[in-house]
Amino acid sequence: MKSIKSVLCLAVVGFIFSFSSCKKDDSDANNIPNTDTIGELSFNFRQFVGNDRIVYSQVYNDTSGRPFKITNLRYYISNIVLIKANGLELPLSGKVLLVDNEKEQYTLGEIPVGDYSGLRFMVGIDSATNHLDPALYDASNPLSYQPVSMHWGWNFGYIFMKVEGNVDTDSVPTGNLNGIISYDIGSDPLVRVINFNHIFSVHGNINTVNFKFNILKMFSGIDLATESITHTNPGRDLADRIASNWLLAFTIEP
Amino acid sequence: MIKIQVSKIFILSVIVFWIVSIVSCRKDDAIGTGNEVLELEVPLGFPYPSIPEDNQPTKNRIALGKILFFDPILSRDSTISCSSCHHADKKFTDGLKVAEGIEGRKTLRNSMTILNTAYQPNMFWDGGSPTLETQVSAPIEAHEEMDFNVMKVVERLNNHPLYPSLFRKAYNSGPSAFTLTRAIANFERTLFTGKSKYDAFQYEKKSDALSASEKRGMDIFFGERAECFHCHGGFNFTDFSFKNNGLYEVYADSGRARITTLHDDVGEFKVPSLRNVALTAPYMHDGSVATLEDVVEHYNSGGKPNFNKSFLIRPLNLTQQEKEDLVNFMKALSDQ
Repeated sequence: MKSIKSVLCLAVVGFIFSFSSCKKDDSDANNIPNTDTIGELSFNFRQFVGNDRIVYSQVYNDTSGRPFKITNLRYYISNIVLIKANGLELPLSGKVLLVDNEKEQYTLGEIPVGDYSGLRFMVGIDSATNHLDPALYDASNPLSYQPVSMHWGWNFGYIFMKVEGNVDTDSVPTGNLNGIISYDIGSDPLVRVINFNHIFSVHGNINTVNFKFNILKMFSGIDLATESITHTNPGRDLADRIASNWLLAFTIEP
Repeated sequence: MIKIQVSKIFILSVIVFWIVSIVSCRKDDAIGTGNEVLELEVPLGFPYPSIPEDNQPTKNRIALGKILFFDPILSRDSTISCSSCHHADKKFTDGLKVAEGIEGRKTLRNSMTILNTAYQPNMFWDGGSPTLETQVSAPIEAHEEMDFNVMKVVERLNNHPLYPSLFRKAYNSGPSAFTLTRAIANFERTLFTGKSKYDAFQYEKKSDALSASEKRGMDIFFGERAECFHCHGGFNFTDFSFKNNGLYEVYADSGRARITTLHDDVGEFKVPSLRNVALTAPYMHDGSVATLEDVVEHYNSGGKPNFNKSFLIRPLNLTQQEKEDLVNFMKALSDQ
């Protein structure tokens, strides 16, 4: 009798357990963020030609006086690490931003409140993620295939930065934008990690770090008359110089 | 005693309930018929290909992939489909030197057959895409091919009167980048070739399946003098490697190096299968060689000097008869 009772007991427990295992895990709902310890942080990205915001179809001059305009500008920011005032590093694992010139604000979600002394991020996508199948992500994920493609099918991986526009390629510029700008910059060796010393704090809901991307600094040492097109491979030299200029092109605005 | 009987019945019913409740947790994975996982019919003597867990073949998936393969909905101006460059009646090639996309745009390279593509360890002449699923985006988005966009194809499919239900039937989910790429790959993985005279000789052991000339050609092909088999060996007549075969002194298309950027890979291209080779002219990565006789002549000459040429490419000094025999053997690789 005793053994039957214990078997019965086990069976009932199993029965109940099997029902409860059907339920979805709803424990997240009980995790109401505590505003004393958790705040929200956003990154703003604004693109400039020198001191002028980039507006599509507006004509600008490069530092040599060569006219150009931008019609499409997008790039990936990933591997974001926030550095607390005490030196502790807070990596925002898995957070990837697809910055589009037409959109300024990118929320990073919930961040521990406190004082921070700096941060760093990667322009591009790290090699572990770069060659995974974009079809595996939901359409809302920046790593999914995009309606304006940010991915190469022929050389499987992400386009870290896409710049499209027009440029006057005449040796003496006349204002006729007769050439195209088409930069598709990607491939593992071209990721660049940029460090920023920047004191900021996270308290409450509205905390923002403002980044400026100055395209003139990205064009530094590049002759737009002859170097306005690269899709990275073959002949990676131009793409490599563009990527290295990212280190100067991004700054934090007060 | 009766008390014990009642307890036993109770225990039994609890256990039955428990099992039923566990089973009911599972998703219904066989909506209607056609969703049972199939075993692909592989030609005699071929290994069974490895198939991704998330894209096992079913009747509904293959049927959906086949419709998509032949549907110009994938191209920006709805003029070309996968089958425009991979004709079913040309052994899934197009007979052109290089493939042509929308508005007659020319690509850099010759359309490879997609028969036996289930065995390819990577895709394209330069291996630039890792799987049959991932390669789907390349022709859709290439400027010289369909000049469109995966997400815009998905949008079109979602607005189509028939596709959403076909996708749900096959994948239990509507058109998405995932289901689109899976469905096309699922169909392509079912395309096999392996019923040639050579196969009758080799795998069915019919010794009279090959003529005397074809047999002499076979000996040359597999011999250490011509050494064709070092690259074109195995059940699919390719070792799937990348080789520089001395076609040019300077390659306009850097081939495998376009992906790896390595100097050592310049002018290397995927070794193509020779199955149906007599039916899939013209030849080489750029379709620059018109006939099988010309191909044999190229290899007999040892090719052009190139810093990266495979050491296997050197003058062969074949006689006219040997060249003819070699061509005849390659013709015996066509499906009956």
